[in-house]
Amino acid sequence: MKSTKSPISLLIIYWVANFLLVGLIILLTGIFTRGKGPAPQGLSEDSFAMANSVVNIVAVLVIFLAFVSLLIFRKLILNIKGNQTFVSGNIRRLRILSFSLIAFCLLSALQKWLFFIFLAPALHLEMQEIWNSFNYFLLFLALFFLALGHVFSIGLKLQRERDLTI
Amino acid sequence: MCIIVNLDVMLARRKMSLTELSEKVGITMSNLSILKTGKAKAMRFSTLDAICNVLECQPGEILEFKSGK
Repeated sequence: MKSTKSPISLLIIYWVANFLLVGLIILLTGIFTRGKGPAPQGLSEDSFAMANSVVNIVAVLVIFLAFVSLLIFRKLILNIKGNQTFVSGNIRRLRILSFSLIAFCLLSALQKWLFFIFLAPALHLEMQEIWNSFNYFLLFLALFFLALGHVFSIGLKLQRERDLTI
Repeated sequence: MCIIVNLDVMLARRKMSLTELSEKVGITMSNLSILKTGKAKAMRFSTLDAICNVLECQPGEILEFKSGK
């Protein structure tokens, strides 16, 4: 197969996205250290340990979703680089990426919510902080990817029609 | 689709092979095959003009409409 040179902008986007997502994973792993040590005042050792484990399980799911999103995005960029833009695989990838980002947003919000439900009374934190920390940017990004998937599906239809025009 | 491409009939009448037509018209074999098997979604006037020119026929002899098919 003939190899084509990719536009430099795509490479820049790819590497910036890689760095951002790796940074995100590193930041998220910091969650594991949260809540370690002696239980705060007003919370028994058992409830503190349970709260920690529940929060950590959700955090693992969040990291897994971030990793899956990274892999899907990488494959998508590689496909576009190889001049395979309007293919059904890319539409599927964009949809999966979008839904995994939505799940990522919801799970990270749930993880914060669980943290505050279990530990806020003991740490004297305000519930308001949960909504302040919700990642609206990623949610809009997920909706953008969903719309892009729809645009790609129209593009695929048009390309098929063009291929069958003699 | 109700539009039928009678390219094979015209080729038989003119005793011409698909390869010969492909060379004379300047269309790839795969595209002519798509046209012959009826998989094509559309046909350019320039293509039709070139085919009619080589086969010395009218567009109506190549294209046919059959209702209810």
